[in-house]
Amino acid sequence: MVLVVPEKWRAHRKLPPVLLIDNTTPDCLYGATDRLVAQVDGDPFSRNALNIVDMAPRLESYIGNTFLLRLRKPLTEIEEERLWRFICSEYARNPGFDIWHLAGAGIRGACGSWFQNTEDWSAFFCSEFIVAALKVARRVPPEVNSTLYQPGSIEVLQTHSIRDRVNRLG
Amino acid sequence: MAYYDHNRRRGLYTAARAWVNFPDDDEVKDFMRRVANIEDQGFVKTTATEQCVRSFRLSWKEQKKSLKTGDVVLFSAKLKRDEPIQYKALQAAQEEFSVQSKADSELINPCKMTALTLIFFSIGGYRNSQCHGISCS
Repeated sequence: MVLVVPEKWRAHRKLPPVLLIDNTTPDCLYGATDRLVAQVDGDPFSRNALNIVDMAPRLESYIGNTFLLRLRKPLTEIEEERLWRFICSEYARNPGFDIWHLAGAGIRGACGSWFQNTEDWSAFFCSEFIVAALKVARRVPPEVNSTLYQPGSIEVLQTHSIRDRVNRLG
Repeated sequence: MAYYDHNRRRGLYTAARAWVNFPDDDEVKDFMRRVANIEDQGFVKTTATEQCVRSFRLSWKEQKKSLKTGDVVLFSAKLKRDEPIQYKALQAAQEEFSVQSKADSELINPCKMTALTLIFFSIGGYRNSQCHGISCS
């Protein structure tokens, strides 16, 4: 998820930092790129899954296509504040990667009546974190189960536009 | 109809609990200061072709101005020529079954989703998604 640090916090900087909150284990993050990307602080391998990284080098170093799903309607100030609070809280909690819910999200597609994930945020997979954050911001209705959305199906929420290609590296 | 709930951690950390655990103002301020102070890493060496890098840097200057908190980035890995067949299958399945149009966004085919998951986990699970398939951030 894209994070643009609000104006009041970046008075001393020339350019606003555009960041990404990446929910993946550090070895995957670095395996998917061809070099290290900046992180908030400390040892990147001390992170379980949630990493905050500089967006430009992350995108540039990714070996593949990147697409942008823009919010159809930007977050309001209060929604953005709730989102930042949630990120601050979860970043400090340092949850692990949620492989079981990721599996459940796919299987549920065919067997929704008898097999489904119960929402639980002890750990997150990539798209689960995004939907959870939007739920806390109250952009996504509270009855939405964040554990049911695979990365390729976020657009189903109808909160974001259809994918727009940003970059292709070859 | 009752369903099988495979979740081992049911109810351990719910949305309500996340709200209760929200940090106080001082903690948030401290965090925001840290985040705002992340050094610009700048562009450094990459294995991508010069042409790709040049076009990305040009377009990035414009694109970053319009980015908003809450936008989502979708990554789709580029496979190497000598990549094992199972990774090619994962990539093809994820591309095929993910939402790519308005019509897709209104209907997810359950059989496709299951096929995707089975392929996904039969070849090594989530670790391969960042390197060999679709992931998001």
